[in-house]
Amino acid sequence: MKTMLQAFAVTMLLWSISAGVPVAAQTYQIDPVHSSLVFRVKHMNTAYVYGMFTSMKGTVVVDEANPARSSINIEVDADSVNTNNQQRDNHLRSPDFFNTRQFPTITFRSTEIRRVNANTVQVRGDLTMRGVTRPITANVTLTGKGKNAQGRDIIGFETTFTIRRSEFGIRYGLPGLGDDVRVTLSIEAMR
Amino acid sequence: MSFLMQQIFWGALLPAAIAATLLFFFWRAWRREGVPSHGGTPLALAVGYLFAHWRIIGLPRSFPPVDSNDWLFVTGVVLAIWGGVEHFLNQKPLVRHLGRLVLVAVVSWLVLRPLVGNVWQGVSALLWIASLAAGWWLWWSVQARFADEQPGFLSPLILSMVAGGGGFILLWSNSSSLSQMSGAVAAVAGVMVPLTLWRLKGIAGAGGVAFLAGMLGLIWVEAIAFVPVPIWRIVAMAVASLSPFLALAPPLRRRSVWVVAALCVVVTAAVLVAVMVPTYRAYVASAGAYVY
Repeated sequence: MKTMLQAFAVTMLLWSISAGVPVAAQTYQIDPVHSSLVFRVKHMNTAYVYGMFTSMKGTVVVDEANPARSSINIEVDADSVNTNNQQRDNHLRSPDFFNTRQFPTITFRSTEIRRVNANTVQVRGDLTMRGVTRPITANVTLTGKGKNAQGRDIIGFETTFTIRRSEFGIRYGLPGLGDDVRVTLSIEAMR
Repeated sequence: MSFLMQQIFWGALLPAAIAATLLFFFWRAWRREGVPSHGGTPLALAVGYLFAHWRIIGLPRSFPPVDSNDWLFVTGVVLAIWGGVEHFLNQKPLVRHLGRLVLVAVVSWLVLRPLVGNVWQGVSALLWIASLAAGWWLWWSVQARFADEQPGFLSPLILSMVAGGGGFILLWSNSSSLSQMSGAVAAVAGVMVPLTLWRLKGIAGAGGVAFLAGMLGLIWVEAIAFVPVPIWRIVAMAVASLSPFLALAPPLRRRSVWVVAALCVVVTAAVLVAVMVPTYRAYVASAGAYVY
């Protein structure tokens, strides 16, 4: 009897997969320790200066069968900006740039996700920075899946896109300090 | 033109030229009517200042403004009007005091409200906003009082010095845009000095000082609240601006205006330098090779 039930369960599982019955979307929490948000901007039209935000949180909902049901929500602590120079970091926190006392977070909320190929999806969403919300689009690549040291499921993504800081009201130093900011986001999320 | 020269040209030289042109134009127009002083001064100063704001920070992105920087522009417009009101209500000090109080209270609340919950919590938030507004109002009223007593070149001269020196203090305190707006105030105040000494005596007085002190006060409030610049540096700048009261001291009343002015300039410069030196040292100590 027990063997029959097991056989039935396996049969039903295989049938549901082959018939395309949707598997529930999986929700992951962003692991800030193993995630990176790096940006670069050109200084005096000469060299690129790199910086990063060291604190972020958020969720990634993954539905591999139906990417349209997936979503990404990220909240970055604007105060955590780090460019390896204390004075410059304080300047970046001031009203000249991020104005972090008034706008303490930078957020991204996805609005639409569609599959591009087996490992890549195109994500559209709203990026809010310094009180200004603007739509952006980026290709996000699946960089891996596995288990972490605690045995929890982990999943990794990476994307690179460019924004114009002036469109978010950050106009200080233009054009000496570049308007285009290239952003690279690498996320490890776990559940 | 280098980056620094561009900032000076658009943020100080051109605004000063615009303000000077308008001051001269208004003076001539009113003189034809036989009016010795006029309420056009705050408007002339405001146009110069707002031009600098447009070039350095940009125009406000929304109305009512959301961003603290945008409030500097909108308040500049309001002060252009209020300065005219102060000129015409010259003989009604109580009304001017109360009007100033209402203006400062409303602007402080609108500008600082976004920090409630983010930076300041509960009762402490109200205390911060009330304290900053009270300090702004008190300092502005003191400046207005002196301008009423001595409506000459000394008020704009000292305010120009404080705004200019304060610009460096703000620059070394991580706020370039507020520093440049302080520089714009210094520029438009500065052009009043030679014009007043030359022939345009009627341009100084309650209206112009209302704009200058109102604008500089808001820059300082934002510097404390949003950057944040250490309060003692702002208090020291406010103290530096009080030197014109030396002119009211009995022993100095009979002295030549040039002697009194020189004394005020020396006292103001001494206080400013006393703040600038430690501010610059602190900046260099943490900046390394960072010079924007």
